[in-house]
Amino acid sequence: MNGPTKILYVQTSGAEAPERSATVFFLSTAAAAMDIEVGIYFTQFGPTLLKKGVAEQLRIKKGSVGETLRHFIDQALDVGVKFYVCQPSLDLNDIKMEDLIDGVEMIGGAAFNDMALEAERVICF
Amino acid sequence: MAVANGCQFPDDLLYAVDETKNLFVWLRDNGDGTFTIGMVSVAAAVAGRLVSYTPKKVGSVIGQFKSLAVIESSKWVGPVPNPLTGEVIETNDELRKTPYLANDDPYGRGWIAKIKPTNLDAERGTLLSADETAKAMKDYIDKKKIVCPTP
Repeated sequence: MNGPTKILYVQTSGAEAPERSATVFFLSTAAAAMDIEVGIYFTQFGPTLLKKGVAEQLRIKKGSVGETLRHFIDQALDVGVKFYVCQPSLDLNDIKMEDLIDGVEMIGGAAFNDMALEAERVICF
Repeated sequence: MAVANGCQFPDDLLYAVDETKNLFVWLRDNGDGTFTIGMVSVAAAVAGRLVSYTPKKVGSVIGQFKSLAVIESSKWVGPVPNPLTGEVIETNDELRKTPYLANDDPYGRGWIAKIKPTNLDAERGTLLSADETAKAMKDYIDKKKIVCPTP
């Protein structure tokens, strides 16, 4: 295919900002649908979106009766978007790996930098 | 016209369907070495009313089952997989401006792309007739409780 083949997204906001939560999942799903290899690195407050039970309750738009965040997370996982978290961010939010939904991988800072160097684009939210 | 649970599959088209690949497309042999590709009405019903259509560029060579276009509704985004390896010859400007044509006229003005297959002999065997497709899709339509819009 033409153009970039790898994109790395970085998600820094979490459940404290619902209106900022869905974009990374929607865009990464679109990228994966374009056959781009996609990963999302959840850091700072980002891992709170992946905590079990959170996404099912999170509505992106206040007062909305539309889809919850879980719908967008499932779409991303279904098309093969990879989810990554870092230990310091889990500690920041008092979360353990076993508190997270299935399909999330722990990586360190060096591995993140490697991914960033390998990706054609890095997009941060 | 083959029909499964109210969803239509015109008899003059060929089809490629595979739930595991999100592949639900029709093909029209244009008689000049090219095929027109579109989404079956079932796929349009599942995706919801489309708000965006982004095809691969003309001239791109797309492998079988790789993404031919990305379609988006307000709640869903996903690929339209290419049923036959080939080169993209033409994309649908009208659909780009009016994405919901894929919902309103999936077998006509809502076509996705025209391709020139490069491996047709080897891949033709994966294509189905309308009757075969209606039979293959019935369980999927039942399972997903899909309701196709009345044409």
